[in-house]
Amino acid sequence: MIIIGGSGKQKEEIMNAGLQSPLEQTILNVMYNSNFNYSFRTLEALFFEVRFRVAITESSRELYYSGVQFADFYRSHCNPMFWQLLPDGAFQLKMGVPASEAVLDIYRNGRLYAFECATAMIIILYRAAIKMIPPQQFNRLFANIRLWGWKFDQDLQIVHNIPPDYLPGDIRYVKNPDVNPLTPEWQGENVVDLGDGTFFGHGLGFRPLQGMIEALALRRRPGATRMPYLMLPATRPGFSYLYQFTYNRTEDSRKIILFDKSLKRSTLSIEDYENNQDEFIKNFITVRFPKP
Amino acid sequence: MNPSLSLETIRKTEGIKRLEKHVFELIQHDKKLTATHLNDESLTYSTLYILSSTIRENGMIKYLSDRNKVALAIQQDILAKERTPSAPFPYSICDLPQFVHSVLRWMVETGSVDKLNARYRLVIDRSAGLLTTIYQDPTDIPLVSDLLFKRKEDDHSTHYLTCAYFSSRNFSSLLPIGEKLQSPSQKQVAFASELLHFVTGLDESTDRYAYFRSWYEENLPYLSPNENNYEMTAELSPYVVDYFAKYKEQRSTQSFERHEDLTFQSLSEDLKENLADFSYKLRRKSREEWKEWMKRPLDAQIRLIEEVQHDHYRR
Repeated sequence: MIIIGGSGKQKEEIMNAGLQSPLEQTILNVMYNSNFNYSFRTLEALFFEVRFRVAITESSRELYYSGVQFADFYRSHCNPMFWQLLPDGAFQLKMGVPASEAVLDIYRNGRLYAFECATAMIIILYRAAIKMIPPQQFNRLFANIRLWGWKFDQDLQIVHNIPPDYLPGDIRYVKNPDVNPLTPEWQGENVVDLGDGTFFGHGLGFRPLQGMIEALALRRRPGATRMPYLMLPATRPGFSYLYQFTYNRTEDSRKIILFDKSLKRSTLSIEDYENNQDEFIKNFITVRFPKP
Repeated sequence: MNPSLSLETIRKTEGIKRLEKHVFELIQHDKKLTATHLNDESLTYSTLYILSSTIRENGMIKYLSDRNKVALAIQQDILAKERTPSAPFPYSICDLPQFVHSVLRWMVETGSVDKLNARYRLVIDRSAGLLTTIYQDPTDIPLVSDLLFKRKEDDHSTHYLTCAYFSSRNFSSLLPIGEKLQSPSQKQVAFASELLHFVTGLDESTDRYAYFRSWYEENLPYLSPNENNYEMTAELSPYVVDYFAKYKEQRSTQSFERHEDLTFQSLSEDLKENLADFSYKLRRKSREEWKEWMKRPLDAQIRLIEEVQHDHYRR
């Protein structure tokens, strides 16, 4: 069931308002047919989550085709123009580099990068966030990112639990309990649900669940008795939290705030500000963008 | 070249390059004497690792002791580029399991002090992983725990080693970590606290070590391995307290299966923990009172806990 602003909405009404692609409709159908109440303040907030989920699946495919390689933390590597490789295999954003450009570089120069599957998931989430959030907002939110497994930036507001429904764009985990101790990087695989019956896992590519299980089974220790299996929890970014950083805000909240020498506050539109930017910078002590 | 100098002495006093040159010259001079030096009981694995290319390139493998042959085979296996699908062990791990165990232990014991490079760390960490995952010998736990803290001290990755350490599924693996709560090094204390983050109330306690010991003694019979995985979350919880077992005074099983009844299962985690703790304390105080309390319905049990806690806070 989908609740918008406190009241139920018809599926057709939502679809006509702007959700057209088959994957968007799949997500909407799961939400609509669920016993769980999916509540959103506005229709835009629902669209944001649905489109963010689609962006996660797209970012997974793009990562695969970028040429990035799989490597454990001992053999991780990255483009030193954007990232500093730390002794524990983490990538630290270099000082002065916009986070959005550094994340995009992973996709542009994939061959310069190698990392583990959990790090890949975080990169996918960041890439999807870049598709959904304006770059200046993204760079402010993720100014000091470090890529290393699930040691995520707090501003992704990751949620990890057993959800009422599984949706495309969810990150799931296939555990390999009897992994070969010589290849612990295959103790399980983080996978993105692509919504078409297949999953993406960094290092294993695109496969249905059974394919993931079989691939991991080959990485078990000799004499293993337990097969890999899909775990129940799902991992998602905090969609409703991230929504507040999108373009889709009211005109008022997008206004520029100015303070004169006596700290008197006034506001004006971005367009007016841009037309006379030099003048404003000269005459006002502080010019700041409002906090979203 | 002084043929009587031990290889360890040369490495420590003159460095790696000089050692390689010395061994190369010694091989040209006397292969058997070189083998005697290499097979010396006091040789460390790090020295063998440094010399592994020289040994191979000069056909010295056949002169090596079984310990060194197995160590080099393990090293080669760990550093192999392609392992999957399930490459067989190139050495006879099934024929000589105890011998391989002793070699792995020697590699970690004598090799963990040196850093050398990432490939070397990989060999040591994987060997430690084999000890805890395959052999699961409790006497290896302190050795691997020391290595884990050393890696953290040096800012190197502890990820796989932590997973391997806890995959021993031996609850006593928590003890060497708890000991580090008394360390004079703040970094070690912080890492120990991070690894023990699942111990409720540890961070708030004034004496963390004493708190951990009392928590361990109280909860040991009710600990069970957690299905959770380091690859899936930012923090690893290798073991969890089975609140139902603690509440009912059942010994926890090593399996993932839980025998909770449905009513208990439906309670919040906080309430489960509260019930389990109260039940434990009550039966320690008076078994008769505990039996009486257990006969009551669950909501009456919870009411009594609330009354007792209310009285406690009022006092």
